[in-house]
Order: sequence, then structure tokens, then C-alpha cells
Amino acid sequence: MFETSTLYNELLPWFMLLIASLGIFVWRFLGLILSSKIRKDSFFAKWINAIAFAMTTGLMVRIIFFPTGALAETELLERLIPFLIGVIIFLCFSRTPIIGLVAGVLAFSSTVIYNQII
Amino acid sequence: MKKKDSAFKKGILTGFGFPGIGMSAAMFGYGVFAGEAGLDLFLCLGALLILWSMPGMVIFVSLYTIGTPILLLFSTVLLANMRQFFLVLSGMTIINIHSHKISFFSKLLWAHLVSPTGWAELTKAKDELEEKELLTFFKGLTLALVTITSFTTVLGYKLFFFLPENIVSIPIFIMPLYLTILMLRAVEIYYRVAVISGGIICPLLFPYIGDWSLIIAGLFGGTIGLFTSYLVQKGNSNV
Repeated sequence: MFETSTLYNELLPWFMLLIASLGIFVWRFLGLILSSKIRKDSFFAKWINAIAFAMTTGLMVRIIFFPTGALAETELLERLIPFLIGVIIFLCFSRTPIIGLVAGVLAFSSTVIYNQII
Repeated sequence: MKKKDSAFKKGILTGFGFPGIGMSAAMFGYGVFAGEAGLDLFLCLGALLILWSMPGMVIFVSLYTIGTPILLLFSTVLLANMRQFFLVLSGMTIINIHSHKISFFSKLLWAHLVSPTGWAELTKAKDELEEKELLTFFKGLTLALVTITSFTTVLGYKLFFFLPENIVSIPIFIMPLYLTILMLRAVEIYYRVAVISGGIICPLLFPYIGDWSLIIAGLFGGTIGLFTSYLVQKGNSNV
């Protein structure tokens, strides 16, 4: 009896993980199956790509405005201003996007380190 | 053969570059989160590899640790991950996965490994590589991403109580900025309009409708983008 309950306790988290993975698998499976029906240069493919572009950017901007975890420990302006600095510098030097990225990250890290010291 | 090797190498190098740093920083944060929640290390790593989706992982850790019923866990993960459908559909169409002579399970594996970072790099690589090389590129990219994120997840799990949270936030900041810049590099007007619309709509709606804001921002942003492109084309043809 004891062994059965120990086994149950050990397997339960993995079973829960399996259930959670099914919730994601459904979408990935559907995406894979439907991709065989779509021509790459079709209007529908462009629409799906545009949706993915909009969703990915939406997700990233949402992380800046409504973060979770460690990023949530910083103030909104501490995240937003360096983010905008990075984007604006990228738009000015779009041939070398790394400049925008480095500028944004430097602006954010200097704010965080400054706050840490103060 | 040499061409294939170079596409694979390019994927590996890309994965260990900024995309990998950004994504692994986020996974470092996930490791910290899982460590704080008291999750077993193997389960933490298992969730990373089996779910391979940040919202899915965070929901799993949050709900599992409070002992949520199975049906609620399933439905929450299901609803929060609808974006995977669009990413996989788009990613697999870009790779043209069905033109490759590989088994269905291999296709499923590559579909499973599509993440926003991986997908964004694919959209960039499609302009630089031939279509048949994209799968090889993606294999190299995901190999690097899986390796580096597994390492930083364990690191985050082990180090979470040593580092101040403010300092941990620095590498986490890289991913949103990097991916936004990558999205803004899109040349076609409908993608640019979609990127800007998505970036505005999602944070505006999030306080009211939570995760649904992402789906609505995607659908509206993508449609506005294509509609704009249609209007521009129509305007040009009239001129």
C-alpha cells in the first residue's frame, strides 16, 4: 500500500505535465496538419504570417508593460524608456540592428545597476 | 552537403548568439520561478523540454504547485497557447516541411520546437537561405536553443536565492527588445503594419481580457496589415 502511494506521488507531477503538454500539442498538431494545405505564397499564408508577426510583437510589448517575475521588480518607465531608446536607435541605424539592441540593453542595465547601488 | 553543413552551422551560431541569450535569459527567470515554487529539478527541466512554451511552463508551475484540478490545468494551458497554432502554421509553411522526405513524427518534433524566437529567426533566414536549407538551419537553431536554455534553466534553479532580482531582470530584458527589433526589420508593408498594430492593441487590451488580448491583437493586427497592403496596391494600380 505504501509503495503504491509513493509511486502515485512520484508519477502524479509527470502525469500533470503530460496533461498540460496536451493543451499545447493540440495547437501544434493542428498547425502542422493545416500547413500541408496552404501554399507558401498564397493570400492565406500571408495573413497567417501577418498574424504571427502581430502576435509576437504584441507579446513582447506586453512583457514590457505587464511583466512577470524578475522584470516586474523594475518600474514601468525604467523598462519603457530603454525599450523605446533601443527601438528608435534601431530605426535610425536599421542596417546594423545590433546598435539598437546594445543601446537599449545598456540603457536598461545602467538604470538597474544605478538603482541597485542607490 | 557543404551547403547543408553551412545552414546547420548558421543555425547553431544564430542560436548561441543574441536570440539564444535573450531566450535563455527568460528561461533563467523560469528556473528561478520553478526553484522558488519548490518544483523538482527534473520536473522543471522536463516541463521546459516537453512544453517548450513560456506561458505553458509558467501556468504549469503556478497551477501544479497549488494543486489545481486536471481539467482546469488542461483548459488554462490550451487557451493560453492558441498562438502556437499560428506560429507553427506559419513556421512550417516557411520551412515547407511537407516537401521534405521525413517521417510524420520528425515533422511533429520540429513543429513542437517552434518558439517565438525560433519562428522570428526563420522569418529572417528565409531571405538569406534557400527554401530547402531552412529545415537544416532550423535544426541547428533549435539544437543550440535547447542546449543553452536547458543550461540556464538549471542555472536559474540553482542560483535563484543568490542573485538580486533587479540584476536578473537585465538579461530578461534582452528578449522583448531583440524580438521587437527583429519584427520591425520586416520589409513588406503588411508585416510592418501588423507589427505596429499588434504592439499597440495587445497591451491596451491586456488589462481587460488577459491572454485573449494576444489572439485579438494578432487577428486584428494581421488583418489590418493585409488590408493596408491591399489599399496601397489598389492605390498604385489606380495611379
